[in-house]
Amino acid sequence: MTILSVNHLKKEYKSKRSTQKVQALKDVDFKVDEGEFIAIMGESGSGKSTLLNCIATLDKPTAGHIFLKDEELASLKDKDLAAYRRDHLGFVFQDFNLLDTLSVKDNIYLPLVLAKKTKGKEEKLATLAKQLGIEDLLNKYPYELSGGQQQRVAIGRALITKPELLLCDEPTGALDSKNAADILNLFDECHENGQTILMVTHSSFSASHAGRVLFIKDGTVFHQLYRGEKTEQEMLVAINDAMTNLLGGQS
Amino acid sequence: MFYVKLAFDSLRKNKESYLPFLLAGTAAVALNFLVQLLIYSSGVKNLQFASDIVRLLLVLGQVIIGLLSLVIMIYTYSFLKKGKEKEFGLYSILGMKKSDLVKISLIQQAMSFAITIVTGLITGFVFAKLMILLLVRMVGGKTFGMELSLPALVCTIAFFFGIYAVLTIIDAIAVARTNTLDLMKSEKKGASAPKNRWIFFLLGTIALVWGYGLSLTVPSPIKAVNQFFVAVLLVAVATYLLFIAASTLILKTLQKKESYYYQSKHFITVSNMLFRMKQNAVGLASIALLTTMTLVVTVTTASMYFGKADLIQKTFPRDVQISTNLDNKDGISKEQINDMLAKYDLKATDSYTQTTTEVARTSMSKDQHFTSTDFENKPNERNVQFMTLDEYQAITGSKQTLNANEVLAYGLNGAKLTKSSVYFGKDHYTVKQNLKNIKGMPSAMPDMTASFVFVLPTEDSLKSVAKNFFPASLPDTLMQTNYYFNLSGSAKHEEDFYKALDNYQGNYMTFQVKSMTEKVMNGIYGGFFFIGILFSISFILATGLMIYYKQISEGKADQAQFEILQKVGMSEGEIKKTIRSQIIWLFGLPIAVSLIHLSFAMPMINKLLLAFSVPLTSAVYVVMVSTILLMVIIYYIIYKITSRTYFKQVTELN
Repeated sequence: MTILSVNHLKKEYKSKRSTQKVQALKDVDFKVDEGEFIAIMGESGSGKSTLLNCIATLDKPTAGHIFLKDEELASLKDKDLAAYRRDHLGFVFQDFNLLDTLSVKDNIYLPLVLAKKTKGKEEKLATLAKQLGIEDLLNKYPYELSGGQQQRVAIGRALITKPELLLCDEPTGALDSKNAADILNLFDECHENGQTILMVTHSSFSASHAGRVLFIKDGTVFHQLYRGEKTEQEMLVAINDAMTNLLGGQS
Repeated sequence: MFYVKLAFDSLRKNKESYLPFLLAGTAAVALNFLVQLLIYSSGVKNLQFASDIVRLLLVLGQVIIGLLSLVIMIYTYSFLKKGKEKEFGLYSILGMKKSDLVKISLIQQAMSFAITIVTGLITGFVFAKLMILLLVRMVGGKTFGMELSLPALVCTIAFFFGIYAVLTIIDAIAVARTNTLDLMKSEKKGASAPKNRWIFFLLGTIALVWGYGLSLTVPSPIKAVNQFFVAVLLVAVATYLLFIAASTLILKTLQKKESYYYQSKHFITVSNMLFRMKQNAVGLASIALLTTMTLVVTVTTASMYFGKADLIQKTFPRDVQISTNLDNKDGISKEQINDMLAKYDLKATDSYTQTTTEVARTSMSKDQHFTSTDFENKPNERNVQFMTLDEYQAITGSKQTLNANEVLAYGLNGAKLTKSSVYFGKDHYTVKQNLKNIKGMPSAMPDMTASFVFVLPTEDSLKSVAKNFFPASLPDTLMQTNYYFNLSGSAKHEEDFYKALDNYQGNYMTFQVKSMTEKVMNGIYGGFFFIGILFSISFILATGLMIYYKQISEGKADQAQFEILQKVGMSEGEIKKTIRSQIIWLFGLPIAVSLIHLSFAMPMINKLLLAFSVPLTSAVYVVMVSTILLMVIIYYIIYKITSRTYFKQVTELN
């Protein structure tokens, strides 16, 4: 069943000083099925962050449509957007974006508190904390944690509402390889538990964990790669080949 | 030259955070200068006997304002420091030595110093002159002398030189202690979770209890003058300490209460405020102190102003009163006065005459024993006057009778008898009735000491009693005759009449004219009131600036946080709610605290005013309530403006 469908998405920016328009997304078209782990790859400036922002309702497309479970995101009113994000989407950012003023526990509770769904929060937290391996950190503050630990907390915050779609923006970008591998394994586990994940990255290693990789170049989906029966290692080779082609400009 | 350029560049690049800092600095200089100008002004010197209390209050105000200025400058500078340190980190990477960085910091401080001093001095002076023009017209008095005095100028400049030296030292320490990378990151470094500060809490509580205690237990008006200073300092220190310690304590307790804490409108507010309490507390305490000072100054000066009118009404039942001793040949008789009046073509109306003893200074024991004493301003001192029953009946027309050992007692200026027996030396009397008033008798004594008038049954009993208090003057100067009358006639003639009286005035005749006293009092208390208003307005403005600064500078710091919150799913409405709930705290807390401070200060203010012969009248409470209302309205407007700016700042998604 399709959970997210992006139809002929187009996004233009007008720079502040000149009237010239910058086209970030030309024509992006793809679908995501429920339970899929999908990675979007591309170089800096390829438009992948713009795409993520549009899906995340943080930005509005110039043309085209995005449907999340039959709901058109463009039809949402501005004042409902925050609530929509809170209730349907989970976010993991490159720089974690935890609130330093809240303890780890409260950072994870944050979306529940905002959604006024604090009933049974302790059980939800206990399950997640075990899964994420952060049981000992719950009463600490973000600035006391390492990067890897902070990202685990951020994932906890993203997952506690059981979102339909988990959006990740370079989730391993600020981590060393050991911590990056741990985080990606965590995503694998979540994926196995049925979580739909959409990850934007320029790291082939990160992308090799996904079930499908979309390559974006110059604002369009240039190529896609299914993992099928490949091992992570084989997938990594395939991705790197595709990237080489992408950079060379030939498919 | 290179360093100067770098220093200037840094100022320019950080102008968003520098401008509020310079603004705060300018305001601080202006306020300090204003007070200094007043302390040395001829206007204050001309306040005659009130000049001492005004000077005292001004010096007190100067100490508090100086303290506030130091705190505010360090507080506002802390916002600036982070961005600056990052820049220093960059210079350091580019190869600058620490000594070079300190040099740049020094140049920057010198620039800020020059800018704030010049703008502050000009603003302060112009503001003071403008306010004087405005207020003189409003209060309706002569002009109020205030000159550009050298000592005021030197004091202000020296004081701020000191403050900027402190800031430079803070900078130098920061640069010396940290390494390059730390400097680079300092902007991102968040505050750490606050710990409970029990020592602060303890010290603050002690200072507060001590300060409040001093106010509540102050025994006499004279003591009040000395203790006021100590009490104010204690409470000021306590306010800072307690705001830092108690606020953390309260917020931590709230955090533990899950049903309260885990609500979207409290969650962010409580955790946010807890973290920023170290900074917040200083801002809030400063606002609370400024608010308290506004109220105290307004209440004191308003009491002076309104108390005066009340006092004059009570002390002067008629336009003119002449006291004389008719047993002496130099005394002035009613006929003589009438001749003088006729001479100046004036008419006396509503006139009456009273004969009482002179005023004796006594001390009253707990058992109501009255003994003669010297004027020492002790709390048990009472002024006492006696009159005979015949005289009482004559002036009031009452048919009251008294047995041999009975008296009538009339208490003025709040004097009360609690027991029915009174003793004058060895003579014992029973109080038959406590009178509410005696017709025609002034109902207040100008010196505000609690006083009694006793009506004794016979002339003999009066003489016997009076022996205890007026041994030297017996018998022929004991009784004093008072003529009270209103005047009608031309003002010019009145003047001449007073002059004639003045020439006649000797040992056995004194006279007092209501209008002349009023004129003198108006000059003095008008000036006092004027300074009060000037002070209050300055305080309200300073507070407004402080609140504005707090909102703007903290809004900048909060921006990153609200950005995250928006991404995670906090709607604009919820952000507005959160901000509103923060504002209610920041807005309400200082006002609540200042009201508590004020209520504890009232006994002391009351005593302090009594030291200067001013009673606390009900009009004061009207003024107090209107000041509070006015302040709340002004702060509300400021908050409305700033919270809108704050909201715009924190919701800007990049």
